[in-house]
Amino acid sequence: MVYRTHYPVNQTPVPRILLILIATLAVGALLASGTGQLPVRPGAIGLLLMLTSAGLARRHWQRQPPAEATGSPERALWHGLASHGVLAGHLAMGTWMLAPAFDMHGALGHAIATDSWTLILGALLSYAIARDPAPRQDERDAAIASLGWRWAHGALLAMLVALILGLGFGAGTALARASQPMLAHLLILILLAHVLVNFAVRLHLYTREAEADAAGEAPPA
Amino acid sequence: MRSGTPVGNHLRRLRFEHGELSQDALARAVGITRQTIVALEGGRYAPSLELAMRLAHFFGRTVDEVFFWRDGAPPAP
Repeated sequence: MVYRTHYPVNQTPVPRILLILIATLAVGALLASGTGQLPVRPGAIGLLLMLTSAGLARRHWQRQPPAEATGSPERALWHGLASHGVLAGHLAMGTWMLAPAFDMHGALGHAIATDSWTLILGALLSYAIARDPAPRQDERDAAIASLGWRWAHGALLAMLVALILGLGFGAGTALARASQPMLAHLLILILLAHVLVNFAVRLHLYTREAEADAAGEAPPA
Repeated sequence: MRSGTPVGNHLRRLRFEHGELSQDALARAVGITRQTIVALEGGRYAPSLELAMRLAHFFGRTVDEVFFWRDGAPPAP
Protein backbone atom coordinates (compact mmCIF):
# COMPACT_ATOMS: atom_id res chain seq x y z
CA MET A 1 0.00 0.00 0.00
CA VAL A 2 1.28 3.45 -0.87
CA TYR A 3 0.56 6.24 1.56
CA ARG A 4 0.88 9.85 0.51
CA THR A 5 2.16 12.76 2.49
CA HIS A 6 2.10 16.26 1.16
CA TYR A 7 5.50 17.66 1.95
CA PRO A 8 7.55 18.57 -1.10
CA VAL A 9 11.07 17.49 -0.11
CA ASN A 10 12.80 20.13 -2.22
CA GLN A 11 11.06 23.11 -0.60
CA THR A 12 12.29 22.82 2.96
CA PRO A 13 15.42 24.48 4.33
CA VAL A 14 17.55 21.96 6.17
CA PRO A 15 20.29 23.93 7.94
CA ARG A 16 19.94 22.19 11.32
CA ILE A 17 20.01 18.71 9.84
CA LEU A 18 23.00 19.54 7.62
CA LEU A 19 24.76 21.26 10.51
CA ILE A 20 24.43 18.21 12.77
CA LEU A 21 25.45 15.88 9.94
CA ILE A 22 28.55 17.92 9.11
CA ALA A 23 29.45 18.37 12.79
CA THR A 24 29.17 14.65 13.58
CA LEU A 25 31.11 13.67 10.45
CA ALA A 26 33.82 16.13 11.53
CA VAL A 27 33.87 14.73 15.09
CA GLY A 28 34.27 11.21 13.71
CA ALA A 29 37.04 12.30 11.36
CA LEU A 30 38.83 14.17 14.15
CA LEU A 31 38.65 11.14 16.42
CA ALA A 32 40.20 8.96 13.72
CA SER A 33 42.91 11.49 12.99
CA GLY A 34 43.84 11.49 16.68
CA THR A 35 44.56 7.76 16.70
CA GLY A 36 47.89 7.13 18.41
CA GLN A 37 48.40 10.82 19.16
CA LEU A 38 46.28 11.25 22.28
CA PRO A 39 46.85 9.99 25.82
CA VAL A 40 43.32 8.57 25.78
CA ARG A 41 41.87 6.32 23.11
CA PRO A 42 39.83 8.46 20.67
CA GLY A 43 37.18 5.75 20.60
CA ALA A 44 36.66 6.16 24.36
CA ILE A 45 36.35 9.94 23.91
CA GLY A 46 33.77 9.35 21.19
CA LEU A 47 31.85 6.92 23.38
CA LEU A 48 31.79 9.43 26.21
CA LEU A 49 30.62 12.18 23.84
CA MET A 50 27.84 9.95 22.52
CA LEU A 51 26.60 9.02 25.99
CA THR A 52 26.72 12.63 27.19
CA SER A 53 24.91 13.91 24.08
CA ALA A 54 22.26 11.20 24.43
CA GLY A 55 21.74 12.13 28.09
CA LEU A 56 21.35 15.81 27.21
CA ALA A 57 18.97 15.00 24.36
CA ARG A 58 16.90 12.79 26.63
CA ARG A 59 16.67 15.53 29.25
CA HIS A 60 15.66 18.06 26.57
CA TRP A 61 12.92 15.75 25.26
CA GLN A 62 11.68 14.94 28.77
CA ARG A 63 11.26 18.64 29.53
CA GLN A 64 9.09 19.30 26.48
CA PRO A 65 5.42 19.93 27.24
CA PRO A 66 3.27 16.98 26.09
CA ALA A 67 1.56 19.09 23.42
CA GLU A 68 4.90 19.87 21.79
CA ALA A 69 6.77 16.64 22.48
CA THR A 70 9.08 15.30 19.80
CA GLY A 71 7.73 12.05 18.37
CA SER A 72 9.38 8.68 18.94
CA PRO A 73 10.53 8.24 15.30
CA GLU A 74 12.07 11.72 15.28
CA ARG A 75 14.00 10.99 18.45
CA ALA A 76 15.35 7.81 16.92
CA LEU A 77 16.20 9.65 13.70
CA TRP A 78 18.10 12.44 15.45
CA HIS A 79 20.07 9.84 17.34
CA GLY A 80 20.63 7.82 14.17
CA LEU A 81 21.82 10.85 12.23
CA ALA A 82 24.29 11.86 14.93
CA SER A 83 25.64 8.40 15.76
CA HIS A 84 25.91 7.24 12.16
CA GLY A 85 27.51 10.57 11.29
CA VAL A 86 30.26 9.97 13.87
CA LEU A 87 30.73 6.38 12.67
CA ALA A 88 30.86 7.44 9.02
CA GLY A 89 33.30 10.27 9.70
CA HIS A 90 35.55 7.96 11.70
CA LEU A 91 35.44 5.22 9.08
CA ALA A 92 36.03 7.66 6.22
CA MET A 93 39.07 9.22 7.88
CA GLY A 94 40.35 5.80 8.98
CA THR A 95 40.02 4.50 5.42
CA TRP A 96 41.80 7.58 4.13
CA MET A 97 44.64 7.12 6.64
CA LEU A 98 45.08 3.45 5.75
CA ALA A 99 44.66 3.82 1.96
CA PRO A 100 45.53 2.38 -0.44
CA ALA A 101 47.32 -0.68 1.01
CA PHE A 102 44.95 -0.89 3.97
CA ASP A 103 47.08 -2.85 6.41
CA MET A 104 44.37 -3.99 8.82
CA HIS A 105 46.82 -5.87 11.03
CA GLY A 106 49.29 -3.05 11.63
CA ALA A 107 49.27 -0.95 14.80
CA LEU A 108 47.28 1.85 13.17
CA GLY A 109 44.78 -0.54 11.62
CA HIS A 110 44.20 -2.27 14.94
CA ALA A 111 43.81 1.02 16.81
CA ILE A 112 41.30 2.40 14.28
CA ALA A 113 39.35 -0.87 14.28
CA THR A 114 39.18 -0.95 18.09
CA ASP A 115 37.97 2.66 18.11
CA SER A 116 35.39 1.87 15.42
CA TRP A 117 33.93 -0.94 17.51
CA THR A 118 34.02 1.28 20.61
CA LEU A 119 32.02 3.90 18.70
CA ILE A 120 29.52 1.25 17.58
CA LEU A 121 29.11 0.29 21.25
CA GLY A 122 28.64 3.99 22.04
CA ALA A 123 25.94 4.25 19.36
CA LEU A 124 24.05 1.30 20.82
CA LEU A 125 24.34 2.46 24.43
CA SER A 126 23.42 6.04 23.57
CA TYR A 127 20.35 4.80 21.69
CA ALA A 128 19.22 3.05 24.86
CA ILE A 129 19.53 6.39 26.66
CA ALA A 130 17.99 8.66 24.02
CA ARG A 131 15.14 6.50 22.76
CA ASP A 132 11.56 7.17 23.69
CA PRO A 133 10.75 4.86 26.64
CA ALA A 134 7.18 4.56 25.36
CA PRO A 135 7.60 4.60 21.58
CA ARG A 136 4.59 5.39 19.37
CA GLN A 137 4.40 5.47 15.61
CA ASP A 138 1.73 5.08 13.01
CA GLU A 139 0.96 5.01 9.30
CA ARG A 140 2.13 8.59 8.75
CA ASP A 141 5.55 7.71 10.13
CA ALA A 142 5.58 4.69 7.81
CA ALA A 143 4.74 6.98 4.88
CA ILE A 144 7.57 9.33 5.80
CA ALA A 145 9.95 6.38 6.24
CA SER A 146 8.94 5.12 2.82
CA LEU A 147 9.81 8.48 1.25
CA GLY A 148 13.12 8.52 3.11
CA TRP A 149 14.05 5.07 1.87
CA ARG A 150 13.09 6.01 -1.69
CA TRP A 151 15.56 8.90 -1.63
CA ALA A 152 18.17 6.74 0.10
CA HIS A 153 17.86 4.00 -2.51
CA GLY A 154 18.36 6.59 -5.25
CA ALA A 155 21.48 7.85 -3.49
CA LEU A 156 22.72 4.28 -3.01
CA LEU A 157 22.34 3.55 -6.72
CA ALA A 158 24.17 6.78 -7.60
CA MET A 159 27.07 5.96 -5.25
CA LEU A 160 27.34 2.38 -6.51
CA VAL A 161 27.33 3.53 -10.13
CA ALA A 162 30.07 6.04 -9.27
CA LEU A 163 32.13 3.28 -7.63
CA ILE A 164 31.58 0.92 -10.55
CA LEU A 165 32.65 3.61 -13.03
CA GLY A 166 35.66 4.43 -10.85
CA LEU A 167 36.70 0.80 -10.71
CA GLY A 168 36.03 0.22 -14.39
CA PHE A 169 37.56 3.34 -15.86
CA GLY A 170 39.86 4.60 -13.11
CA ALA A 171 43.02 2.76 -14.12
CA GLY A 172 46.00 4.47 -12.52
CA THR A 173 43.93 6.11 -9.78
CA ALA A 174 44.12 5.27 -6.05
CA LEU A 175 40.82 3.45 -6.43
CA ALA A 176 42.29 1.06 -8.98
CA ARG A 177 45.14 0.27 -6.58
CA ALA A 178 42.79 -0.26 -3.66
CA SER A 179 43.07 -3.56 -1.82
CA GLN A 180 40.07 -5.77 -1.17
CA PRO A 181 39.76 -4.63 2.49
CA MET A 182 39.76 -1.03 1.34
CA LEU A 183 37.03 -1.71 -1.21
CA ALA A 184 35.07 -3.49 1.50
CA HIS A 185 35.35 -0.42 3.72
CA LEU A 186 34.32 1.84 0.84
CA LEU A 187 31.20 -0.28 0.44
CA ILE A 188 30.50 0.02 4.19
CA LEU A 189 30.87 3.80 3.83
CA ILE A 190 28.40 3.76 0.96
CA LEU A 191 25.93 1.82 3.11
CA LEU A 192 26.39 4.31 5.94
CA ALA A 193 25.83 7.21 3.52
CA HIS A 194 22.70 5.45 2.27
CA VAL A 195 21.32 5.25 5.81
CA LEU A 196 22.31 8.87 6.50
CA VAL A 197 20.38 10.05 3.43
CA ASN A 198 17.33 8.19 4.73
CA PHE A 199 17.63 9.77 8.18
CA ALA A 200 18.24 13.26 6.75
CA VAL A 201 15.28 13.13 4.35
CA ARG A 202 12.91 11.87 7.05
CA LEU A 203 14.06 14.52 9.52
CA HIS A 204 13.63 17.07 6.75
CA LEU A 205 10.01 16.01 6.34
CA TYR A 206 9.35 16.10 10.10
CA THR A 207 11.03 19.50 10.32
CA ARG A 208 8.90 20.80 7.47
CA GLU A 209 5.83 19.63 9.34
CA ALA A 210 6.91 21.22 12.62
CA GLU A 211 7.58 24.50 10.80
CA ALA A 212 4.14 24.38 9.20
CA ASP A 213 2.55 23.75 12.61
CA ALA A 214 4.51 26.58 14.20
CA ALA A 215 3.54 28.93 11.37
CA GLY A 216 -0.10 27.87 11.65
CA GLU A 217 -0.05 27.10 7.95
CA ALA A 218 -3.61 26.84 6.75
CA PRO A 219 -4.66 24.08 4.40
CA PRO A 220 -5.28 25.18 0.82
CA ALA A 221 -8.77 26.42 0.06
CA MET B 1 2.98 23.10 -6.02
CA ARG B 2 -0.04 22.34 -3.85
CA SER B 3 1.16 21.72 -0.31
CA GLY B 4 -1.97 20.13 1.14
CA THR B 5 -4.09 17.08 0.59
CA PRO B 6 -7.35 17.41 -1.38
CA VAL B 7 -9.15 15.71 1.51
CA GLY B 8 -10.39 17.95 4.31
CA ASN B 9 -11.92 16.95 7.64
CA HIS B 10 -13.91 18.16 10.62
CA LEU B 11 -11.64 16.65 13.26
CA ARG B 12 -10.94 19.86 15.09
CA ARG B 13 -14.65 20.69 15.40
CA LEU B 14 -15.52 17.13 16.40
CA ARG B 15 -12.83 17.15 19.08
CA PHE B 16 -14.30 20.27 20.62
CA GLU B 17 -17.80 18.87 20.39
CA HIS B 18 -16.56 15.86 22.34
CA GLY B 19 -15.70 17.73 25.49
CA GLU B 20 -12.72 19.61 24.04
CA LEU B 21 -10.84 16.40 23.61
CA SER B 22 -7.10 17.00 23.30
CA GLN B 23 -5.18 15.99 20.20
CA ASP B 24 -3.15 13.55 22.27
CA ALA B 25 -6.24 11.96 23.81
CA LEU B 26 -7.82 11.46 20.38
CA ALA B 27 -4.54 10.08 19.03
CA ARG B 28 -4.30 7.56 21.87
CA ALA B 29 -7.94 6.58 21.46
CA VAL B 30 -7.48 5.62 17.81
CA GLY B 31 -3.91 4.31 18.14
CA ILE B 32 -1.95 6.97 16.29
CA THR B 33 0.41 9.79 17.26
CA ARG B 34 -0.48 13.33 18.25
CA GLN B 35 1.62 14.56 15.34
CA THR B 36 -0.65 12.72 12.90
CA ILE B 37 -3.73 14.42 14.37
CA VAL B 38 -1.91 17.76 13.96
CA ALA B 39 -1.06 16.90 10.34
CA LEU B 40 -4.64 15.78 9.64
CA GLU B 41 -6.14 18.93 11.14
CA GLY B 42 -3.62 21.03 9.24
CA GLY B 43 -4.72 19.42 5.99
CA ARG B 44 -1.25 18.06 5.32
CA TYR B 45 -1.96 14.35 5.54
CA ALA B 46 -4.65 12.17 3.98
CA PRO B 47 -5.34 9.13 6.18
CA SER B 48 -5.64 5.57 5.00
CA LEU B 49 -9.17 4.25 4.66
CA GLU B 50 -8.69 2.22 7.84
CA LEU B 51 -7.64 5.25 9.88
CA ALA B 52 -10.45 7.35 8.40
CA MET B 53 -12.94 4.67 9.44
CA ARG B 54 -11.44 4.41 12.91
CA LEU B 55 -11.69 8.16 13.42
CA ALA B 56 -15.25 8.26 12.13
CA HIS B 57 -16.18 5.31 14.35
CA PHE B 58 -14.69 7.03 17.39
CA PHE B 59 -16.95 10.05 16.85
CA GLY B 60 -19.96 7.89 15.98
CA ARG B 61 -20.10 9.33 12.47
CA THR B 62 -19.74 8.00 8.96
CA VAL B 63 -16.54 8.64 7.05
CA ASP B 64 -18.38 11.12 4.80
CA GLU B 65 -19.42 13.13 7.83
CA VAL B 66 -15.83 13.49 8.98
CA PHE B 67 -13.91 13.73 5.68
CA PHE B 68 -14.76 15.65 2.52
CA TRP B 69 -13.26 16.81 -0.78
CA ARG B 70 -12.04 20.37 -0.40
CA ASP B 71 -13.11 21.27 -3.91
CA GLY B 72 -16.43 19.50 -3.59
CA ALA B 73 -15.33 16.70 -5.89
CA PRO B 74 -12.25 14.51 -6.25
CA PRO B 75 -9.44 16.10 -8.27
CA ALA B 76 -8.74 14.77 -11.73
CA PRO B 77 -6.58 11.62 -11.55
